[in-house]
Amino acid sequence: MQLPDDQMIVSLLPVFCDEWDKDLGDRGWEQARARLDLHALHQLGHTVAGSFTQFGFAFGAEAGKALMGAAKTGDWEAADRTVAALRALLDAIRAALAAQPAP
Amino acid sequence: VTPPRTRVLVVDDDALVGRLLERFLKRHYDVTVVTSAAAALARIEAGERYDLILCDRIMPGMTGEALYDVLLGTAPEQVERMVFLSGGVVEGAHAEFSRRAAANLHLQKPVDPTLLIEQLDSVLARLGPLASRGA
Repeated sequence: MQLPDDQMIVSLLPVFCDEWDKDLGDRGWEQARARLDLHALHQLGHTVAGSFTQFGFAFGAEAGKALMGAAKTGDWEAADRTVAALRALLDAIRAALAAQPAP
Repeated sequence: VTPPRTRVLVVDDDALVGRLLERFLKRHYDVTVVTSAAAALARIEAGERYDLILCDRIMPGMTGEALYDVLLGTAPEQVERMVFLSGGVVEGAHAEFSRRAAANLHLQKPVDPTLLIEQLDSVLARLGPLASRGA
């Protein structure tokens, strides 16, 4: 896992991970999943694409597109897989942050 | 007399992206961040005016595109100062909006901070200062 070069971005990554934990947990994704809310799933895809890519993680574009595609077809299992991949990415970011040398 | 600093309103439902954009921009401009188009509209309806409005296009509730449409009627001088950001695929009605608002700058996330400031400065140079800075 390569962290972004921009220290302004890196300094916000702990908050980024915490907030996305919530958005991929009971604050966002889990509610949409429980209600089978395709509109919320589509919106989540947009937000994933914008947020993860802006923070330097290109996978966000692919994941966001996958979630929006799943919203169009109602493929919740595909959405589950994408969300699992995003959670794994957050874990990898945390591990990379923890492995950084102390300033 | 020191000229007033350029005022930029950032509108993004993703508070994290809003914070990041604020960090990118605040060395150059006076930056205000709101997390909904409704909050942006409330500020403008209260008389606030901005040199630039950096606005996410697709948000829950009122979209940036809907904000543009409302401001056409209520604060048209702010419409030309809107710069749109998009994170996802622009398709369907959103693609039609791109044509309708072709005079505005449209940017795709991720934005590079240095390039963003260059692009915003270019828009500011084209439009000139605000006639009135509002409340």
